[in-house]
Amino acid sequence: MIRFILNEKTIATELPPGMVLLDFIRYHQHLTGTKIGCREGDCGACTILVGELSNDELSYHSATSCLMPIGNAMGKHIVTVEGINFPDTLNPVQQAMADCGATQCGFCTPGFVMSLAGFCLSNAKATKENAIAAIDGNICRCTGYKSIEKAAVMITEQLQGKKDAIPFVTEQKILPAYFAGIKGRLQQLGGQIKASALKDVAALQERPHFVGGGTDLYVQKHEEMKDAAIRFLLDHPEMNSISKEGNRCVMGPSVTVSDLMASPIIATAFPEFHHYAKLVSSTQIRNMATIAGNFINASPIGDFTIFFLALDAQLILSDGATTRELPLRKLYKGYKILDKQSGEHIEKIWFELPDKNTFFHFEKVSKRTHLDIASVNSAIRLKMNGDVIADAGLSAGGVGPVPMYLEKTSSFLKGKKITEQVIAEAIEVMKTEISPISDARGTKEYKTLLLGQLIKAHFIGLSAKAVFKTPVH
Amino acid sequence: MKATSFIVQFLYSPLGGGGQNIDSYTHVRGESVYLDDIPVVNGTLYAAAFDSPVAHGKIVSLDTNEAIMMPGVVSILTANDIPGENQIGGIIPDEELLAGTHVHFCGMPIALVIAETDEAARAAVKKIKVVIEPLPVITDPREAKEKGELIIPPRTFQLGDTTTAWSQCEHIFEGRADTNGQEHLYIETQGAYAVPQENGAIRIYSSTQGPTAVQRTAARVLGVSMNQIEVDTTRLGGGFGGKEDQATTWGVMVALAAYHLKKPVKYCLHRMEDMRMTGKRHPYSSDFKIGLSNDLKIIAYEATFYQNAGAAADLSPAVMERTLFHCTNSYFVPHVKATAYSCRTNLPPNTAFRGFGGPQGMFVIEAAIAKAAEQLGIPATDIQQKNFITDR
Repeated sequence: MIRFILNEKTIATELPPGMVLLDFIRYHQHLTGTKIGCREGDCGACTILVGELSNDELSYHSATSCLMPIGNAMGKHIVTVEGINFPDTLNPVQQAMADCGATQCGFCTPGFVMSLAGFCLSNAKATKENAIAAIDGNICRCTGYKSIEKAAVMITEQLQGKKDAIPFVTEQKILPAYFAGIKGRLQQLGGQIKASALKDVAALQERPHFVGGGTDLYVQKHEEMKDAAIRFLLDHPEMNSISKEGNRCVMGPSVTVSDLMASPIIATAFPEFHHYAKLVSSTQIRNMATIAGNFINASPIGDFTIFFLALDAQLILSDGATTRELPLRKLYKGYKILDKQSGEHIEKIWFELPDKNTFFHFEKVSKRTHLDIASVNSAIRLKMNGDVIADAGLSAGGVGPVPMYLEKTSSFLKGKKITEQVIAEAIEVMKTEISPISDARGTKEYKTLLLGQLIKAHFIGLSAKAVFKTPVH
Repeated sequence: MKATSFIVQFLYSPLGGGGQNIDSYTHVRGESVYLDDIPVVNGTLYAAAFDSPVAHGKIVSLDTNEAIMMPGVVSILTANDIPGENQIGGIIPDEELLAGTHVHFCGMPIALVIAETDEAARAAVKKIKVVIEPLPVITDPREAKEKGELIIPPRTFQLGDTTTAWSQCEHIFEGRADTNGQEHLYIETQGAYAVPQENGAIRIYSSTQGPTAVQRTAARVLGVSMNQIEVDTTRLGGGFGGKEDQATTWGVMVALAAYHLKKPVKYCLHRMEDMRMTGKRHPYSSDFKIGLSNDLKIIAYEATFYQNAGAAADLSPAVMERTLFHCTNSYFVPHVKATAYSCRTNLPPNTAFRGFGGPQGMFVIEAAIAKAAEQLGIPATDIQQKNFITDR
């Protein structure tokens, strides 16, 4: 039984937990404001809001309902466009969209309205940049976006003075008053779910499919997943934590990209993290996609896999009874072949936080800057001892059947001083350990050249961070 | 404010009719009714097309035995089930609804599965087997022209006399410019819903830019008079030309199914089906020759356009005409000769798309100006400004 709140209504359904929320909303609840555009999380026409309790705080984020199984809605508040309508008037988001001519054919419009409503409910500062960033996962083919940007700016004006989002939006009549009572309802619902969930522990073991955010799985296999026996990883709060233990950062398996973006531990360790994260998919997808899922998906160009490979992240794998530790770089045995048993899942991820002598840099090149798969991506970690590299970790994606930790190049760099000559030699070493193929994202020659340039870009980027005494050009 | 007062306020506002969209109120509330939002009638069946996996060939055999046995499957229709004419061509009758003996592009519909659910219909599509004897495939419009594969005879637009004008030119440049296709990507995919009415009539809800084309073509395919077919278009979630002629296919398909089964039949395409089976903006390959005077006046311009029409005419002749009309963009050129070939290839029939051939024509003269500017070592804007059409 899956229980959640949909707009104002409590839902309890026996429908397959693998069914996507989009189909549940449209074809079982007959709420047709949420549109189907691509079913791949690209267009944003099916954007909804997800409200959840964490440490007894209610917060909302946007998500694409086409990639979200109803199992992941368990215990949450799901909001569709119908759930933010006032009976006889437009809310300020809707009014701004109408006033600015930000809707033409209207098909993408509910998705934009929901992303902007999510912005109103978020704790992000009410700036033009943040408002526009909130709609980075929505495509409009009619307007050319300028009118939508104007609407976004108009909305920020109404959010000045926002501190505590939920009381603010209800008092200012930006969103309906029932939002004020959701926290209490979710607390009550959480208790009911806990009571009934206990009975299911044994049954859980018999479900072979682990689902995190589902953002790639539901693109590839949405028909199969509907009736699959699934173990959902998102509805356990303890799996969602990011903590500091000594010099280690420890993450639960359901930590999403947005969780990392919001973490002060990550912000301190990687001052440019926001910039890196914005090169990866869109707001809605970052809100859903987990880091562990990125690892297990084993895409050779998985952006965060490349990021954490350079950090030499370690995995704790569990089959429910026993656990074992495995370096991320040892997980990949071949294209989509993992050193993981079918019953095992990632229980924890940990990595050493960079100290004051350790520097980190990430680069990604794709055909489009945003919302695109990398042609080649790469990350580097350098621990410096004066002007000598004491330790190095270099990773690269798109240059082999698996996301690669460049072992030879990393050890070549160890003990060297950084000079143009050393960088040039490192690039030659790199060429001996990659095996790119020619495909839609470039020829193998192009990808090899590109990775060489990204390695140079790493050192240029690091020199800007004052790692080196003499800048590298 | 209430919907009615919203509209009243809008009509009397200084912006009324000028820039605001009269439909905004329901759009922003998610209350506008698009094709897939129309409440379905009890007993509605769902269709899905089985399309050609190869670009050109002769159908040797079609095996639907396994598919028809799939749970929930009601019927599978092929060209043999068409009571009227198997013909959906709008300007030129050269396109079948369902492939008869031959397939002409990858994605050409061959059969239509009708089932109790959307999922069942798509699952059955995967069980259909076809054997196709491959025939030579053409994708390059220049190759099609060489082989005489033209949709209509070539057309030439002329002004002045280019043959004598070249001698007046100080600078002459020649070159080739190609533009690629483009997917419409209306966010709402193609779709239609047919509901049988009394006395054999059929109402087709269609996400179409051309309701009359749907009506006329459905009547032709079903062999009934036009008054038996009613077309209702509630809204379009984007069209951009892609639903001008190409929405007809799906409207007629569901009408055919409703005709046979006497049940409402609906088909909303998945994005991948839509991208695979429907035509796009026409790719063009073109040659140009441009002649300028010393003071950068364009004296003469010649262009030859090879339009990649795809496997059937669709709207290609009209698109081609628009290319010729726009071939000098916003410049006055006294001597012009432009020739266009609409070339038949084995791609999905290309169709209307914002600009309707105009951009493809304008791009070539801009490419010619860019080349001239580069060769002369001057900014292209110098040439552009010298040649704008003026009121004088």
